[in-house]
Amino acid sequence: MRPDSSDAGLPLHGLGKHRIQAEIKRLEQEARFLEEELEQLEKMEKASAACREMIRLVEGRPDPLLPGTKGPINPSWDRWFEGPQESKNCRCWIL
Amino acid sequence: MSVTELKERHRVAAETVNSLRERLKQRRIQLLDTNVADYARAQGRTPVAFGQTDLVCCRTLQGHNGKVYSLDWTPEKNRIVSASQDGRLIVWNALTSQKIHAIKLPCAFVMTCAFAPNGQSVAYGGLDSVCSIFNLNSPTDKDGNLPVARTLSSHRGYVSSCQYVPDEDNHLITGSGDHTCVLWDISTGLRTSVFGGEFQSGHTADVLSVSISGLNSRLFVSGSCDSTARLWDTRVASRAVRTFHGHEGDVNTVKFFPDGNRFGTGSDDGTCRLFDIRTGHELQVYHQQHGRNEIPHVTSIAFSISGRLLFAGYTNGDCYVWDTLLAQVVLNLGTLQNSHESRISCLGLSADGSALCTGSWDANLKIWAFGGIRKVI
Repeated sequence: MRPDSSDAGLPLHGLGKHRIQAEIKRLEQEARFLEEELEQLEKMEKASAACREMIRLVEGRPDPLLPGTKGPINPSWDRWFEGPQESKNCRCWIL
Repeated sequence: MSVTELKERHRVAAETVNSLRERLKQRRIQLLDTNVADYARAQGRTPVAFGQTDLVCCRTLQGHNGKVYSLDWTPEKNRIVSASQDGRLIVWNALTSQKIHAIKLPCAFVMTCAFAPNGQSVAYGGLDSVCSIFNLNSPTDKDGNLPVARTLSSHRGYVSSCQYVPDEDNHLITGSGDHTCVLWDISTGLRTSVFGGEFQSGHTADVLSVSISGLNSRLFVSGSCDSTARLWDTRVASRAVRTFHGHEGDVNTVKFFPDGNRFGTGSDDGTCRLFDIRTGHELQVYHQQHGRNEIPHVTSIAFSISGRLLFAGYTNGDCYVWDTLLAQVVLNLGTLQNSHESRISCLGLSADGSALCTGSWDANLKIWAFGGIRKVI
C-alpha cells in the first residue's frame, strides 16, 4: 500500500541492465531530494509556531456557518432562507 | 558494469534512501512539539457549540437518477454543477433549486466535474481517461445535446479529479489513475506540464484528488493511492515541492485551507489530517474512534471560510463537522433531519462561505446553511 514509505528499492527480478540503471538513478535522485529536505528541516520552526498562526487566522475571519463569528455580518449570508425552498425545515415558516 | 555489480549499487542506493527517510522522520518528530488541538486547549479555547437548528438543510436538489459523484460551485451566482452515475451533468441554480442545464455525457462513466471561474464552461472527467469541456452558451445539436467544446486527452488512466486554475478560464489541472497530474491549456487542448510519471519524482500510484491554492494559484496539492499527498509548483514539473506522509491508506481527497498555507486530507484510513505546506509538519489528525472492524473511509472534505470547521463525508453516511482547532466532532450532518439517505460522496462550500452543498449516492444534493441566531464576537 505504501511503496513510498517502506522499502525504497523495488524488486529487481527479471529486470534488464537498463531498467536497473534507471532505478538506481531514481534512487540517487531521491536521496539528493531527501538530503535537501533534511537541510531545510534544520532551519525550520517547531509546529507550535504554525499552530499559533493558525488560531490567529481562523479567529480573525468572519464565518457565516459559525454560531459565533467575528463581524461584520453580511445580510446576503441569509439568502438561503428567502424565496423558494422546501416546505420542511423552512426557517421563515418556523418563525 | 555487470548485472551483479548493478544490483549491488542498487542495494546501496536503496539503503541510503531508507536511512535518509528514517533520519527525516526522526527530525520531524523532534519538531512536532505540539498539535493544533493541544495548543488551542492550552490557550483556553473551547469547542464550537451548535444548537439543534443552527445548521439546517434548506434545499434538496432533485434531478439525478443515479449516485452523485462530484460537485463544484461557481465563484459567483450561486450555481453548482454536479456529476452523476446517470451519465449527466446538471447545472443548478442553488438558490431556486432549478436545473439550468442537464448535459448528457458522451461517456457516462464520470468521476469528477468542475465549473470554470467565469461560470460559462464546465469540465468533466472519468473512466474514458479524457477531460472534456462544455461551453454552456453553445447551441445544442439536433438531438438537443450540448456539444463537447474541447477534449483534453493524453492521460493513460481514468481522470479522477479536475479543477480550473482560479481566475484562469483557460487552464485546468487534472489528476489521474496514470499516477500523474496535468496542467492543461484549454484554448489549445494541449498539456502545459505533466507532474510525476515514470521518469519523474512523483506519485507511485493513482492520483485521486487535486486542490489548487486560492492564495497562490501556481501551487497545488494532490492525494494518491500511494498514501501520500504532494505539493507541486506549476513552474517546476520535474519534482514535487514536498511529499507529505502520515496516512495509512489511499488519500481520497485533498483541499487547501482558506489561508493557502495549509491543506487538509481525507483517507481510507478513516482520518483527516492537516498539513503545513511551508514546514511539512502534520499539524493535526482528525480521528473518531470506531469499532475494530469498521473504519469508515473519508470520501470528501471542505473547510468553512474561516477554516474553523472541517466538513468530512464518510462511507458509512456520516458527515462530521470537525472543530479544526479542538479536533472534536461538533455535529454530524448525517444524523440531522432531512439528511441524505446514503453515503455523502462530495462536498463543497459556496464562494462566500454561507452554504455547504453535499452530494450523495441517494441521487440528491443538499444545501446546508446557518439557520440559527448569529452572535458577533
